[in-house]
Amino acid sequence: MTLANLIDLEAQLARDRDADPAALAARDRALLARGPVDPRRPGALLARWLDALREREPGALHPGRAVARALAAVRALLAVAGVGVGWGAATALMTYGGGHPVNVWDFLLAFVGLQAALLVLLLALFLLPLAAAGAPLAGLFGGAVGWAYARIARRHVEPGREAEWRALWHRLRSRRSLYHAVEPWLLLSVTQAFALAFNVGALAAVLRLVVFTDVAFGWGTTLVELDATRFHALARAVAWPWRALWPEAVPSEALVAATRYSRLEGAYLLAGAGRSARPELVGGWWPFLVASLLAYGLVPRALLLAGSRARVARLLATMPHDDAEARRVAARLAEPHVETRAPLPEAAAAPPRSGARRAEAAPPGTPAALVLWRDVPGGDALAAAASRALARPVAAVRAAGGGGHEEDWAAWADGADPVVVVAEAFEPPDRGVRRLLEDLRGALGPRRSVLVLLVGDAPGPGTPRPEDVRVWRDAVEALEDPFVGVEPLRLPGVAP
Amino acid sequence: MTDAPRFAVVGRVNKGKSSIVATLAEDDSVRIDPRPRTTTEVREYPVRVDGRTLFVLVDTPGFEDAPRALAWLRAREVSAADRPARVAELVRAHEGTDAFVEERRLLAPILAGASILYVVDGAKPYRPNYEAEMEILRWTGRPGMALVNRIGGGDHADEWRRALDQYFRIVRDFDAFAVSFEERLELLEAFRALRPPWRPAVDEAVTALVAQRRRRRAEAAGEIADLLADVLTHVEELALEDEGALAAERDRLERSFHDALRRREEEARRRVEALYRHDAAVFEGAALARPVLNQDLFAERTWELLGLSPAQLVAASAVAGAAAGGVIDAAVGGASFLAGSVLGGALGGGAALWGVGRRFARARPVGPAGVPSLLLEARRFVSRARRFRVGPHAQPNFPWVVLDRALLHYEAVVRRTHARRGVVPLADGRAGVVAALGAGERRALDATFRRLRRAAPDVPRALRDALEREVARVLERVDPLPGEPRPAAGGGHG
Repeated sequence: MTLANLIDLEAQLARDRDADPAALAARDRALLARGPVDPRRPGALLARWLDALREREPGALHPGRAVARALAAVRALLAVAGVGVGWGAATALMTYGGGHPVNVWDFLLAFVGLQAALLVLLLALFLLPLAAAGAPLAGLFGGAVGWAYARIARRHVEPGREAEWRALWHRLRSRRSLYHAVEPWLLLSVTQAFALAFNVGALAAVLRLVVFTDVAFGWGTTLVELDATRFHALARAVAWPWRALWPEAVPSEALVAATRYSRLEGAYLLAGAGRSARPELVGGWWPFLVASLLAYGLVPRALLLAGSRARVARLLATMPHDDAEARRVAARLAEPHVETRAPLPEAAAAPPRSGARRAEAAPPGTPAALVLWRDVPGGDALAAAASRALARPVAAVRAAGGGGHEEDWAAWADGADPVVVVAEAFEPPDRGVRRLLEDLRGALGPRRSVLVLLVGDAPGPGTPRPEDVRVWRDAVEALEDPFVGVEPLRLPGVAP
Repeated sequence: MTDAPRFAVVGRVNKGKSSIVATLAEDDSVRIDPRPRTTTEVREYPVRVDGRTLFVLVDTPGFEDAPRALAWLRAREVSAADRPARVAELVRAHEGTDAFVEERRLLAPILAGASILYVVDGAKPYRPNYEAEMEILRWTGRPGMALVNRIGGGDHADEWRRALDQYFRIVRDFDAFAVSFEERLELLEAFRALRPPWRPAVDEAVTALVAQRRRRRAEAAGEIADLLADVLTHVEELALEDEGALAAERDRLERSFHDALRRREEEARRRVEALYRHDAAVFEGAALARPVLNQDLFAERTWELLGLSPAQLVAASAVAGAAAGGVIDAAVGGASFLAGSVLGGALGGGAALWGVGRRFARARPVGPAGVPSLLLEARRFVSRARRFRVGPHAQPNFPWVVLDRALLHYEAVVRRTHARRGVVPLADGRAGVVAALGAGERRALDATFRRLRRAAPDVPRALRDALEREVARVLERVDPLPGEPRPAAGGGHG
C-alpha cells in the first residue's frame, strides 16, 4: 500500500458509502475475478482493487496520485527553500568585512546549538507519549484547521448542506484515527527534507566563503572564567564525533588561544601580536565548523529523512486494514458473489378491466339449472342452498370438470333460466371455466342468463371472500357478455 | 440456454408459484397478484455465483386446462415408456393454436430437461381435479418435488400430503410468505435428491448463499453501528446573540435536532433493507401491529416499551463508573424520556440552558480549543454574536431505544420474504430486544455508548468498530446462520 493508494482508498470508501450493496458486490467481485484473491493480505488485496477501479472508472475521483505528487512538490519546494535559507544564513554569519572576525560562537549557536536543540525536541515528540509533548501542538494545529473548515463550510456551502460538510469533516477525523501512526512520520519526512536542504545550503555557503574569500575567525567572551583552556575543552567535546575520523578538524589549544578576540582590541587586524602575520591560524577554524555542520546538521537530518521515509513506507506496507469498512471490501472481493434475480425485472401487470356492471337478471320464478364446476362439494345441501340464495327452484344439477365431455347444454338446460355455474371462489377462473361459459352461451343463445355462483371453502356451502369474488368478476367481465354475472352465495339470514 | 440444472416451478394458477420463486430468488420484481394469469410467460431466475450459473429457477404460467389436456393424452394412450413423447406431441400438435396455451408453455422447460417443483396451496382444500395436473407431470417422466405453500389461514396440508405422496418422491411444506433462511436452504438441499449429478452445483450455491447472508449481517451491523455513532454524537450549531435567546429558540431547536435524528434512523433502515434486497417492502405504516416500530422515535410510548428499564440502566452504567449525571438520569429515565441530562445541561451551558438541556441535549458555546479559543472569545466580545452547539443527546436510555428499534427493524427485514408485498404486518406485540441482553453485554455496550458520547463529534474509528463488533454479536442471535447457536427459547426475541 502506498500513500496514493491510501488516499484513493478513503475516497473510494466515501464514494461507495451510498451505493447499492448488491451493485458493489457485483462490481468488486468482477474486478478481481481473473487473479487469486488472498484476504489474509488485505493491503495487497486493496491495492489491486484500487488499481482495477482506476482502470475501470478513469473518470472517477482518484486523488491519491495527485496528493502524492503534491506532497512531493511541497517537499521539493521546501528543499529549494531550505537550500536558500541555509545558504543565506551561513553567508550572513560568516561574512567577514575586515572589521571584526567571524565569531565561532555565533556559528556554533546557529548551526550546532539550535539544530541540536530542535533535534532533541523532535526526538522527544516521537519518543515521549504524544499527550505529554506533541498533543498541545497537534491539538492547536487540529483545532485551527477544524475551525477554519467550519468557517469555510458556513460561508461557502449552499444552505442546507452545512450538516453534510460537517459529517464529512467528522468522517475524515474519524478515519484519521486509523492512520495516526503514519501521520507524524509523514510530517517528519517533509520537514527533514527542508532541514537537510538547509544544511546542504549552509555547507555550500561555508565552503564557498572558505575557498573564495579570506575569512578570519575568532571567539570571545565576557566571562572571565571562560578562558582559552576551557573553550578548547568545549571545542574538543563538540568535536568528539569526528575526533578519530578527521583529527585536523579538532581545534588545537594554540588555535583557541590565538584566536581569542576582545572588544578592547579595536580593529581586528591591527590588534594582537603576530595574528595578522599568520592567516592560517585565524582561518584554521573552518575544518572544525564544516565538521560541526556535517555532524550536527547534515548527517542527522539525512538519517532522519531516510529513516522517516523508510518508516512511512513500512507503516503503509504493514497497515493491518482491519477496520470494518476495509474488512467489508475484502469480504466482497474474496467471497463469491451470488445473484439470484432475473436479469431484467418483470414488467408491470396490465390493470384489471374497470366498469363493473350487473348481469341482466333472469325472469322471476323460472327454475335454475346448476352446473357444479370441478369437484365443488356439497351435493344436495349445496343445491338447496343455491335454491334459497337464488329464491327459485332448481330444475337440474350437473357436474362439469373441463375435461371436454360436457355437451348438449341446450337440451339439458331447457326451460331453466338462469343456468348457474357453481364454483369454488378460491379456485381462480381459468381457461376451463371460461370455455364452459362460452360453451353455455353458444348452446343457450345470446340472451339466456348465466350466473356464476361462488361458494367459499368453509365446510358446508359457505360465503366466499370478497377478494376472490372480485377476481371472478374481473375475469367474467372480460367475456363482455351482459347476460353472464357473478354473485357470491349469500344465504338468507347469514351475514357475509 | 445453459446446461445448468433447471427447476420448473409449476402448478395451478394463483397457488403461489411466483411467490416461491420470489422468495428463493430474493426478487421483489416478481409479479405476485391474486388475479389469475399474472405470470403468462416462462421466466428464468438463474442463481449465479461469480457469473457462473449454478442452477436456474423457471417460473411458469399456471395450469388452466389440465383436465382437457389429460383427456387429450389419454385418448392417445401409449405405454409408460412412450408417455413423455406423447406429452411432447401435445405441445407440438397445438403450436400456433390457442389450445392449451399455458400447458404448452409450462411443459416446454420440463420436456427440455427441467426438474419439477409442483406447487399447491395447503391453505385451501384438496380437490380431485388436481390429479389431472399431477398425472400430466407424471407423464413427462421428469423427477419432481411437491411444495405445499400457504396462502391464507386454512390448514389442509395433511390431505394434500396424502394425495401428493402418491405422485412425488419428495413433498415438503414451504410457506413462501414466512419461510426462514434456513428453511430456504433446506429446500435447496432437497433439490439435490431430485437428481444426484446436480448435487455439486446445488451445494456450491448453498455455500455461497450462506456466505452472502453472513456478509449481509456483518454489513447490517456496520449500518446499525454507524447509526448509533451518528445519533449519539449528533450536534447542531446555531448563531445567537446570547444564551437568553437560546431558551427562546428551544422549540425550533428541539424540532430540528430530533428531525435530524429521525432522518438518520430512516436512512439506516433503508440501507439495511437494501442489503437484503427489499426494494419494494414497507416496514412501517398504519397496518403495522407492533407499536414500537410504527411509533415515532421520540414518541413517549416508544420509550416506555424499548430500551432498558431504570434498574437495568443503573446496573449497566453504575458498574462501569458512569458520571453522576448519567446515574441520576438513569434513575428517572423510565419515568420520563424527556428528563434528559439536567446535570449535563447545567454543567455545559449554565443555568440559562437548563430548559434546553433538560429536554434533549446539552448546549454549549462553540469554539476551538487552546489559543484560537481566546482569539474567538475576543472576536465575540467585539461582535456580540455567539454560536452554540446543541447535543449530543444526553438521555441515558437514548442509545438503547435507538438500538432496540434498529434490532426490531432488522429482525423484520431478515424475516420478511420477498413474496410479501406492501406493508409487512408484524403481529406480536412484545417489547424490545435489548432488555433481554445479558448483563455483561449491556455493560459493554453502555461503556461503548459513553465513550462515543465523550468522543463526539469525532468518533475514533477504533471505537466505532468496537461498537460494530458488539452489535454484530447481537445480530448473530437475531439471525443465526446454519451451524451457529440458536437463540434460547423465550430469550426475548426470536
